[in-house]
Amino acid sequence: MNEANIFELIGSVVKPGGWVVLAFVVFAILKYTENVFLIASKFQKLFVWAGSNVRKKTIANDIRGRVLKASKRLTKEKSGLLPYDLKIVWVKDEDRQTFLDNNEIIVRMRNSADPTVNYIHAITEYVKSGLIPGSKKYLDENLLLATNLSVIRKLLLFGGTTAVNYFDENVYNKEVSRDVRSIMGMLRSIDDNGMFIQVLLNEFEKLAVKLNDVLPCQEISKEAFEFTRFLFNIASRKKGDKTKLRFVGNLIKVNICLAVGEGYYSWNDGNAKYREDIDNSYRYGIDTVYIYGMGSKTDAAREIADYVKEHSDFVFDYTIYPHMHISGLRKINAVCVELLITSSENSVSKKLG
Amino acid sequence: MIRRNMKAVHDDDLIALLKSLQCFDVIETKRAQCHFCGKTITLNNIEAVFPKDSEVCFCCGHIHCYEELIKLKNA
Repeated sequence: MNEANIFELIGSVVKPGGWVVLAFVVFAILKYTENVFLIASKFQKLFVWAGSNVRKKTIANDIRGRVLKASKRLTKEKSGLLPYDLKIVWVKDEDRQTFLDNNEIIVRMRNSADPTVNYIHAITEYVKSGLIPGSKKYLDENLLLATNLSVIRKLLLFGGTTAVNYFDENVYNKEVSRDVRSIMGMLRSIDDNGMFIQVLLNEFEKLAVKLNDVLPCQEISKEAFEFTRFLFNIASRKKGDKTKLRFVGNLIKVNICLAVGEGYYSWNDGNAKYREDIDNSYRYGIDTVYIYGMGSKTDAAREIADYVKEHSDFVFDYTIYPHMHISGLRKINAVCVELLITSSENSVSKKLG
Repeated sequence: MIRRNMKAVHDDDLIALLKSLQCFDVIETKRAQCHFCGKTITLNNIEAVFPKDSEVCFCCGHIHCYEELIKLKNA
């Protein structure tokens, strides 16, 4: 066997394997894009001494990777909430008149070993620009700020950094007013019970569709705040408390069903009782019912949703949001099922979907 | 995923940018102020530049000021 034959043999073995490896790499890049950016950033960090371009790429890839990672985690709780990929566009110089005409902000990115401040600024811009863009004008200023800061904090946690410690020490403890902190406390409790993203922000998002650019007014912001308090009362209730689970406002009309063990019904009452309650909800003008199931009861929540969808005259679809229920130090798998119970062609959920 | 772009200036290019916007001298001589809180802007604490009323304005590192800036941008 001569040299040429050996190379031919190796090539015939590597070629098919090479395609498999290539396909795997492409799949990994598409599925785990955020990790590709983060790994690239870590690698580039080793060469920051090489020049400004490397330093910029390190920062840009780090931020993009973290934002994508955080956005994907948020999407698991509710799709479409912040479906954005954030790309840094570097500016070296700019003509003054062009800058004034373009009306765009240029943010500073620091060349620090600790990327925390850069990341916080990027996430702040990301959230404030992209979160409930059509509805935020209807919220009270303190509630809006508390909502934004709560989402920012959540994204900082998801991003896998220690930025949340910086945020707590330098923003939450030092710069946030008592009123806003009080609301953030309520939102934290609501979030621990899986109702912040899935219910509160979901309903706030629907306000934009329902109101269709109506001018903001105090009645709307008051109702939004009362709805927040309604969810907080559920989140902070003690066992045995008779807490209201139905909110009927002018704009927000929601029923919360707790699947099994707590709340209205026990499992022995069966799915028919849930269907009866949901059909009655429609008569009250409710347009969304949320069913919650925790731990071993998550399957029950899904089964109830299936049963109701099949047997109810009013439920036309449902969406499942898995989340972690936090109770003290315990984290329990939980699920929130959003039932859409209007069949109207003009329904908000169809428009948003 | 919808891509959003964020314009940014790196520390290495900050002075060059400020010179091209003809506002480096104002900062060097400590005559520039944060548009939101009035704090004196320096090369250390400047966090963003933005146009308003045909002028180049500045934002410091205070998170409230930065949030006001984003609010202004989205208004």
